[in-house]
Amino acid sequence: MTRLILLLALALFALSSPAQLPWHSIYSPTLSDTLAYLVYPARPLPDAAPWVYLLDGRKLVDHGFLEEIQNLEQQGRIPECRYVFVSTIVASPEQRDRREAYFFRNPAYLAFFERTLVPTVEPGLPPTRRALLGVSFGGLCGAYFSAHSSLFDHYALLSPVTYPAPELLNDLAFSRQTGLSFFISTGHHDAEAYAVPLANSLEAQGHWVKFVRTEGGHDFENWRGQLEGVLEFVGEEK
Amino acid sequence: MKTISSFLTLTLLLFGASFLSAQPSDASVTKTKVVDASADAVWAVLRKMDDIQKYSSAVATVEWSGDHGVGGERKCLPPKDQEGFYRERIVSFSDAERKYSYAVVEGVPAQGMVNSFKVVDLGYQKSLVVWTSHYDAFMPNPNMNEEQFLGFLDQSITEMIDKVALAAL
Repeated sequence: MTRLILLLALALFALSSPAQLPWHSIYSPTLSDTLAYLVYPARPLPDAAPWVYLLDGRKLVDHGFLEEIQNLEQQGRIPECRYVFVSTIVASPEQRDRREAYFFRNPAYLAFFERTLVPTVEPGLPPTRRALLGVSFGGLCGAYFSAHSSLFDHYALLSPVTYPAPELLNDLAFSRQTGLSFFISTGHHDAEAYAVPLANSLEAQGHWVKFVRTEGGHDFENWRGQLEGVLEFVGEEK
Repeated sequence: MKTISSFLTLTLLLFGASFLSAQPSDASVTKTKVVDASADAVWAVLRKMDDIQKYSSAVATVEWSGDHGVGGERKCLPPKDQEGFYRERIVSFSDAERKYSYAVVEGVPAQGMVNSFKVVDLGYQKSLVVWTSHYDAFMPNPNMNEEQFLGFLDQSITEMIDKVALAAL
């Protein structure tokens, strides 16, 4: 009996560990690539739970974001959310990471989210229940999505780096979107040069911006450490 | 000039918010002027950005909001006898490059219009002011064709650069 309980406990632990959660393949006609995503948790959640999409999903999982979310959940420090980690690594023998091709103002990547990924993984939610998190160039991508799509109402752009696509600020200036909410952060000697103008542009557009400065750098440790604040932000009334 | 300006403001009221009938033209316009003043002196005038009523007869009042840099916005109101306004958002600003760009987000019959000022140091107390404008599409309207619009732009910016040059001396 003791052995059986031990085996069951081990099985449950294995199922809940990130390494064991399944990555699903998804083909994008607009990108002509097959990508992967991971959804956590598998258990049912309250109807009002937000869905958080995370760009660079594979890297974030590899750098402990899922474990951190599970820790925060166990301590009751974050609201219940569904997480969709979206990898930029193409399913091919080379396992190429196409993040730069996807993140630099790419309408085909936005179309992948709008027409393929979101309709596949979720039951059709209002934008008020969707958030997008991006780090570094992923912040550029998130800001671009916000200018051209009404898919997400909430964005977390951590250390956003926008220099590869300065036209992004033109996109924002001419965008018809307004009233979205943004959590924007930068570390020390990090993305200050990009995060501040980006935040100013978004505020000028009529969006709600929470700007956070951290002592961290341009690294996963800094970004992982902000998860609690980001998820509180996603869950709170604006 | 005043007639064209009035036409423009009327056009803006009628068509400023409508992009439905825009015709793709992807136009770029560049205007340059050599100025007998140092690049720093000219840039010191241009970088203020919130006082262009001093340099343009089409603008009587500037209402500035936001930071004095990227994200800052100016609403340019015409003289009392005219209607309409332009709303311009700063989308890039660099003291190091002596350059700023602004998106005209409201008030012109052109879609996606982004204009830039840049001051180039020519040495010997001379500089070159470069103004560029790019827009994706002109919006046809009963009051002004694209040629007239470009003529208005040319007149306006020539006046502005001339007055900025004088202020920098």
